[in-house]
Amino acid sequence: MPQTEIPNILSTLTFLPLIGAVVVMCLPRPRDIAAAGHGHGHDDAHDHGSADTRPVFDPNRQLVNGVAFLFTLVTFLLSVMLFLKFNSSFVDVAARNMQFVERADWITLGSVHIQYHLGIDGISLLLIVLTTFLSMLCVLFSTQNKERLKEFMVFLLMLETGMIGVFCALDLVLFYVFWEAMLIPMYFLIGIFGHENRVYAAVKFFLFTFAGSVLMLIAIISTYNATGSLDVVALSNPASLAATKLHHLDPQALLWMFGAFSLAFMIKVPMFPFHTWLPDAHVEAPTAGSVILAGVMLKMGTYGFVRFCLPIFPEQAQSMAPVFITLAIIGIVYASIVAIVQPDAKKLVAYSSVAHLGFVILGIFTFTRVGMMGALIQNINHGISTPMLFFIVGMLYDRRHTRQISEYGGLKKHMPMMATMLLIATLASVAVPFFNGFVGEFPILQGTYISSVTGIVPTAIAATGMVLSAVYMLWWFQRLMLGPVKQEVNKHLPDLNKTELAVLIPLVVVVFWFGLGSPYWTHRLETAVNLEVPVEVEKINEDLPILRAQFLNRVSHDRITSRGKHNEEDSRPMTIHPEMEIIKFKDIPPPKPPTVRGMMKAGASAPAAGGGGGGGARTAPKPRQRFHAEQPTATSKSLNAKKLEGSR
Amino acid sequence: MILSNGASLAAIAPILAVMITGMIVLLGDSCLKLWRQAKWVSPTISVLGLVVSAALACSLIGTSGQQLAFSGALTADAFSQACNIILAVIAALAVMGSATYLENRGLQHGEYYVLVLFSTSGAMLMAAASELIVLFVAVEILSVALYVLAGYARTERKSEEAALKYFLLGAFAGGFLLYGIALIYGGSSSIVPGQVGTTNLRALGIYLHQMPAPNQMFIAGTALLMVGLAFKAALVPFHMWTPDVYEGAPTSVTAFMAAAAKVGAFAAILRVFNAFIPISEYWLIIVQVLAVATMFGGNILAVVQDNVKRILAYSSIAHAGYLMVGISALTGSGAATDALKAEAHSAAMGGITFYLLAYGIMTMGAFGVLIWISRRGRDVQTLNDLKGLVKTDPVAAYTMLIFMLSLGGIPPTMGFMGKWFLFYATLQAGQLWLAVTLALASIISIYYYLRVVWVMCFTEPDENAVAPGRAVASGGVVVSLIASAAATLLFGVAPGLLHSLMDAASTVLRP
Repeated sequence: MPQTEIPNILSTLTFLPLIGAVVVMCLPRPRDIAAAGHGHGHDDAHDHGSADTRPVFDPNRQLVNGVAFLFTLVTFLLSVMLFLKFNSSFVDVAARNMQFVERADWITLGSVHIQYHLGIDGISLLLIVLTTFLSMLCVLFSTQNKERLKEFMVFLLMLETGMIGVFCALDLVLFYVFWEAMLIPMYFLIGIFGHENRVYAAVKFFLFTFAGSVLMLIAIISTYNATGSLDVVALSNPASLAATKLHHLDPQALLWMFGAFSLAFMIKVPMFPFHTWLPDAHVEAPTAGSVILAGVMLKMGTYGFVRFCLPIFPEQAQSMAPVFITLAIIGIVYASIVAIVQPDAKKLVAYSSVAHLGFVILGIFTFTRVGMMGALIQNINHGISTPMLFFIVGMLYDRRHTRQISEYGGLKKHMPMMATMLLIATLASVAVPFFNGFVGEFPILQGTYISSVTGIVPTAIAATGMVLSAVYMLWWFQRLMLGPVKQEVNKHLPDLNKTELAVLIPLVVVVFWFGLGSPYWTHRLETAVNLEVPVEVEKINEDLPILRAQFLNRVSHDRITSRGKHNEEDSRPMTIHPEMEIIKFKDIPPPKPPTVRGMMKAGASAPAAGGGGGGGARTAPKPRQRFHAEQPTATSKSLNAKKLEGSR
Repeated sequence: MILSNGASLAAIAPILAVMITGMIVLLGDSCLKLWRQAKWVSPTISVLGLVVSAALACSLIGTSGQQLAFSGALTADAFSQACNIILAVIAALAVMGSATYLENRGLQHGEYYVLVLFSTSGAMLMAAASELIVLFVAVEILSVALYVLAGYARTERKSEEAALKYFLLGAFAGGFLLYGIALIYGGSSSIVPGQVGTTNLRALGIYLHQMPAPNQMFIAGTALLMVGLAFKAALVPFHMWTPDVYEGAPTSVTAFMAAAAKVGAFAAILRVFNAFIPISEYWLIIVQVLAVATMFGGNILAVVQDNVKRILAYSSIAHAGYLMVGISALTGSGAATDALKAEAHSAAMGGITFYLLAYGIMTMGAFGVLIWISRRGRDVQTLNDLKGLVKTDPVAAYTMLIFMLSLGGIPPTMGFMGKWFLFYATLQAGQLWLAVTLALASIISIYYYLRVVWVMCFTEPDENAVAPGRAVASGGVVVSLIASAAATLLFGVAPGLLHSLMDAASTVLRP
């Protein structure tokens, strides 16, 4: 199968926004709209927001907006193309390697060899699509910005390049370059366009992240000195020379290196003791900045764990898992409780982010496939629901110039559309079934339960996080939208305008698409997850009485399935596509022994499947499913492949 | 390979080109009235001379190998040619920036350029010196010209104070240097019995390698030498003069002084300590202590400054600390085998050379922006003067941003690659703790570089600031800024273009 028609599609995708930034930089500067700047608080209560003050027609303004939007749109379309072309087959061995790989020598100086090495797997694919999608919406939303529009667009586009680069880079130094370079535009977005305490927040954000990552740089160079390789793929493959060299190091040294990597990612996520920069940065950032921060930047931390920490330092990650799980659970509960008492709408959403990301880390460190899968889904889900919340809070702020929850109340009467959107976002964030949040959080808790690293007590504690999230989110919604209108000025607020609707509607679509038809998205993750948590690493708690038989069954089943499927040097077993198993579960009422494991997996996505068979993307025919369930041997290979072709 | 006298002259052609240009400008400016009246002649001729010098050095760098010129008094090897290129670039940037600045301040005179050229040639000689006496002479050539330049705005008290301070402390440090050389001469006579003492670094390196147990006189001499060089390189605790002198001197002089003097000093430190590697057990710990003190001292003191020039002065001190980490890596003290030690040595040589160029370019750039802002007649001193710069002068603000990020070591800039190579060398040398210290120090440094950025970009212009006057011609500084900004970004993305520079550095061998 030809992988791509556009040569160097990843480079194009990465640097197109940067080209866009340069083009926008060269455009004439639009006039500022003087009416309302940022940071004027209550003084501007009579400015009824962007919907009323139609900007005077300014061709430069239109030009800057148009060009910036065009570039993000094209980038987004390219990423969609990437998504469609991505080979997510479960039988094609090529699909288990990095795809769309680009490789060239970048720096060769003395004994230093750094490569320009890009490539993606399922995990990065979804994050890239999320990045381009959110960037596009941010540019769309920010077309209403009043001041220094051109700079805003330039920084947003530069940021997009950095973010896509982080998700594509497979050379440690290249990754580091994107990782750091990305801080600069974000620093400016917060610092120039933020609210009252913006300088403090911007500097705190920069220093925290930099402090973590500079130690990671030392770990990167130590890795290079020990192995002579900066190639993430080679280092992650335990059979490779580089990884062998690395694991011959002193265990103590390896632990420190793992620690340095983890620290950078823990700060970025942010995990419990390092989260203090996040509420500040979120609250002070302009809307688009908060959206990108919550939607994409925090994902880089979790992505870092999945891409670097776990595969390169598997033993260290496993031995340190209790620490991470403890911190994650503390983070979930603590951030949820703090979120309840926040008087500031944006800060509340910021703390909810800390809690949600705690779930992601929890799922990753359970070392179960279900948990990892849930974590990665939750990663994306959080990137959809939280940006939506931030957009809506931003829209409220544009109208009233305050973020205090107590200033609002009863908005539903005069802003029915906004109330609807906010309700959708709130429910998605609370993880109500049918909404996207549920699809992620449920498997995480399931993984936490069945994992031998955690067990029932951590699961119970973490599950209180879900309850608490309902408390703070629903109460938040109630205080904003329901009840009597307390303030006169709130009666005259305009409802959503066209731009705002155009920003929110795609998000609503994705919320439901993900909530109801998640396998369409997640089967692209499956291969990567299976490689990430191979059976020999998976930590299923075999003492759990009910599940034990099922899992023993599952493991042996996996081994059978794997026989004859792959090349000889490839000993990693594979699981079956969750999608098939869901249907299997539905279609074949009396579960036969092999399908018991289908139950387990179906448990993860059953609500999704129950919700009407998904977003219509799946048209898997029944006979093949049955065949596959009964004879999971080499013969299913071709059928499987055909089926996947069909489902595309 | 020891060259004949004629070949020696050819081998140091880049240095001669700078000296001759200096003399031409001196004579032309003092003898020809037309030359004097046309203000642009002196800077143009100076830049041309420096370009010729750099071109000569470029052509020699590939063939130089490890040549010894003038019976071993000078080492005209590839590393010295690399330093010549770096210094010529710095001096050319400085001259272009100065033309604008001096015009604004009404100080435009030909002798300024003469002094810049002479001190450049002094710094170049420092990089080539392999005889301690020549080293001392080179240091004096560099310093005397700089004393005069520091006091160049002679009607201003601050400038006078800077010159006097620099002169007194410089002379004092010169004394240390000379005394150290004398002790080394005396001490070395007993290293090889029956031998007369020597101050030739190459010979000393060989002796020490054969018998790495120097007597106390030799050790004392080394210590004094270290003090003298540490003064020139502005290492903590020998840095006291730096902020005052940098603040008082005219900005264009500060820029040149910060870049060229440091490059020269570090080239000399590199030569001296490279020869003394066999006795590194005596000095390594001191170098490391100096490195840590300098990194933290410079960075922490910079945090509390309000004057931009002082911030940059302390930042230059901190960068000297980073370079000292490189010097410590030269020894490869933590590396297990001799092969690894040699690898660490060449990595450190390459890293220091790259960092010197990076440091020179970004420092010149940062001061260049200050000069450029002052083109409207307000001399930038404090951070308040930079308030809201992005509104009044966005291009200047964003250019400054590039240099601040580079100084802070944020990719994709040259400063980041420089730090990368230093980290790499330090870890190769097995000095992990020093690398971690460097990392921690650079976290502190980020704060004040960001502070400059936020004052420029996140604040409103100061109401009380001097109203911008009529802009004067600023062609020179614009060219120098474009060149340094482009180089900062280009070599940050593609440092491979400088491979000949890095290769040249590794021709300096471990004794």
